[in-house]
Amino acid sequence: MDSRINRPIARRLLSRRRLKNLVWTGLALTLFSLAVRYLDDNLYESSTFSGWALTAAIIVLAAFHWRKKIPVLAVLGSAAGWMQFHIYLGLSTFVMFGWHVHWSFPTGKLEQALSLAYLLVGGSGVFGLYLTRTTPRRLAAIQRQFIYEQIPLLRREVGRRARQLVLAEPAGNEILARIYVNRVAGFLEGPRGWTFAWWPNGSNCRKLIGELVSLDRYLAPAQRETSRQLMSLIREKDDLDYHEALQGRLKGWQFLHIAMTYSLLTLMVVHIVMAHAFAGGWR
Amino acid sequence: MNLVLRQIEKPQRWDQPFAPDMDEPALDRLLQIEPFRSMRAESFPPHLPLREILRNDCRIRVCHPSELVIRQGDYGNSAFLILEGRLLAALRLRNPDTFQTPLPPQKGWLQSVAQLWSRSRFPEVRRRADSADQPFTIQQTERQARVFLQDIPGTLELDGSQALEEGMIFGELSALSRSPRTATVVSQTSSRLLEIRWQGLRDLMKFDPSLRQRIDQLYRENGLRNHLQQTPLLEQMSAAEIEQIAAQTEFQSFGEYLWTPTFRKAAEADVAARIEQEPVIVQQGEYVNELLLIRGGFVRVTRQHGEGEQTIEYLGKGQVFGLRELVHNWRTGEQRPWQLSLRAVGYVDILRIPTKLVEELLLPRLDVKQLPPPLPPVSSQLGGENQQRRLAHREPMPETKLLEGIVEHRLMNGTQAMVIDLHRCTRCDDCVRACAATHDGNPRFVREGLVLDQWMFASACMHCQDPVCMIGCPTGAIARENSTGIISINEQTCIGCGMCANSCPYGSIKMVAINDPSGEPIVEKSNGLPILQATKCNLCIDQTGGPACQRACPHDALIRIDLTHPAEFTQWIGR
Repeated sequence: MDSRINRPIARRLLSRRRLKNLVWTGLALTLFSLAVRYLDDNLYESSTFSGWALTAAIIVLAAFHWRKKIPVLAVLGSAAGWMQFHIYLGLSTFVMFGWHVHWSFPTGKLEQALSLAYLLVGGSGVFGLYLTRTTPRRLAAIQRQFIYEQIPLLRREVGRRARQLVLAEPAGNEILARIYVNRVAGFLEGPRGWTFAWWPNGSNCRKLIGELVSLDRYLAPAQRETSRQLMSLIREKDDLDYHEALQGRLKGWQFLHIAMTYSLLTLMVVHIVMAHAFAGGWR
Repeated sequence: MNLVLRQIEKPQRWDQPFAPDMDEPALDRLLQIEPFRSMRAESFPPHLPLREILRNDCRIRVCHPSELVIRQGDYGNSAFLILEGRLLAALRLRNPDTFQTPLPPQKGWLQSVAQLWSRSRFPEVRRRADSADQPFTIQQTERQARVFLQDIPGTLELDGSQALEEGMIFGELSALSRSPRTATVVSQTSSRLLEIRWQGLRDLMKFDPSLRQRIDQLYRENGLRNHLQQTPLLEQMSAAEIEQIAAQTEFQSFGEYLWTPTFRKAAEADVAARIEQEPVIVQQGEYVNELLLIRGGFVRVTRQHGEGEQTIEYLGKGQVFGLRELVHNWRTGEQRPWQLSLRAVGYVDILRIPTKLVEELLLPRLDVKQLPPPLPPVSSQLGGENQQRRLAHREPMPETKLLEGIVEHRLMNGTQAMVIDLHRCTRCDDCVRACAATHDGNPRFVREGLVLDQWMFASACMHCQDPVCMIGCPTGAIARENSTGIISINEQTCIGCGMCANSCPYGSIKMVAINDPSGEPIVEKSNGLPILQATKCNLCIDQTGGPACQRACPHDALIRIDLTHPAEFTQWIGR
């Protein structure tokens, strides 16, 4: 294959990249801090400098979302490069913010709202970093991989197969049918609730399987086979729910992070206008 | 609600002939010359008559002196019969880097941005229904620039070159093996050539045994000589010595040409039975009698492990097997047998050079640095991972479980396989959205596929080294791009027969129902069934910056990577 069409990308060690990024971030923050100190020591208005620097940083951070909307433009660089920049610049803004508010929480209502919005966006960013670094491994631990949008369809399919299994049972011994109606159907066809969405775990699944296993002694050999198949469907449903919860959490986080960013941008504009309007003109 | 349908005739194989100007007198003249004169028209079935094959799958190409006909390294889908004139075939270029075919045109940044709002509102829109009064010809899809070589001796290595005369056939090697051209051919005089596209050549060979025999023989002879001349290990040999080796080298093919059905069938079998179904080329423990060069396809290198065979590595085109044993025996005087077995995975061409010849001509010339390390002592070969590594000495390989999976599913065929690291992928689907954005709103892959450990081998076209999808295409709509080798589908000539989708062993080609620009489904006039077309990843060949999926992944989780040589992949997974 011609290497001109897909040039090999840099495959440097990720740990080396992290070290390099940390060093550059540290250097940039040191320079920024020295500049603020210099301005303060020489009786200049350091807040204007740190405020505009913070504004620029936040606009660049928000631009990552806009970059994602135009993947066709190669000149903008790779999303992975943007992500690295987003992470380290995002972390740097905590220091920039600290210098801007002189390491104390502001007292004005607008400034408090703006600070709160910034801290929420920044905090959600850090939480997102944790989520994006830990969730993929948890998702990968499940044997099958699911596409989020297909999960409801697959779940219905699991429910349908379970119903068919139970309906195909010959009349006479109704133990399986009873546990299906009373316990299994609710699990297979119902939602798992908010607790599971935030802290997905397999306890309900294990409990239900345990109940089915304990019924083995009352079942004929053929029914035991049906019971095993039901267990397998319960596990499959649990996997689907687990994937939906974790993937949904990632998607929900991203939605909130972006929505809060727009709130922050709006408050930021108001703050800039107010700050300059009441500062005796543009300086 | 009334559903409006756009009705058209079902597309047929020869709706778009190779050349529109193949008239009756030209066909009459062709049928008067060999090999067509000897062909029996009645051997061809009524739906594939000889005259129609010549009319639709052939074209006459007139070349001027010094005109370049084919360029080494380019991908070609046709063979040539010399009708008149003399040509020169050279196997080596003096400066290959400055003699490359330009890349296909790519969108500028303005055009790239314009895609965002010029995107169709409907899925899978094709403009073919609207172009009925302006037929789209294959010639329009090809770049027609002619290249003339001003300084032939300065461009081509003439030592070992071959003169091609009237009546000879060339280019069949690349057309049959779907591999790059192995020679550069220049017209020495004014010449007329009959260019036969691969589909026509396949049918001619199928219904005319003598042509099949002739092409098979050519394929073997040319394949053997070209490969020997291009093998780095033999590059110091003179033309006479290469001839001497060629005369005694055996050319062998293993496996089936269209291996998808056997691959699918084997997938249902027990894991041990699957390996046993692969033809044995070399058996561990047997007498070492030759050096093996792999001319095409892939082989699995295994060692006996318990009751089964453990894969140690895989080798592909251009690689050598057996040098280590040969050198060891030659230097020590021992007679150590094959340390490992070799099995054909899919369709494989092998060259066997006899040991005696290797010892006489090759080994004395090899520098100490070129010699492989000695074999480990017999007492230490009882097993264990380290011993395996000591026996396998070529490229870095992924760990055994992953390696077995790659070979088992024949993923090493992919030159641009999409691999996703599931420990980094957040399932955000930015890759799929980027793919859709660059393909008129239609994603060309789904983020699912085979998972081995933490690595997902997504069902996106891998642009295989051996693209079996191309074998059955009746129109040549699925073909390699000339300069890059990227496999793409020509929407204007795809008739929706589904052969490529059925042949792809990896399920990377999807058949889709198409719509016209106003969103109306295009259906067949006779029965109202939807007209289908094959779709797949084209590696964003018309975009700058390479594949959009890879560029769009924010977490460094997705890569398009060459699995034919495992070193790059091993390095990536170990990052």
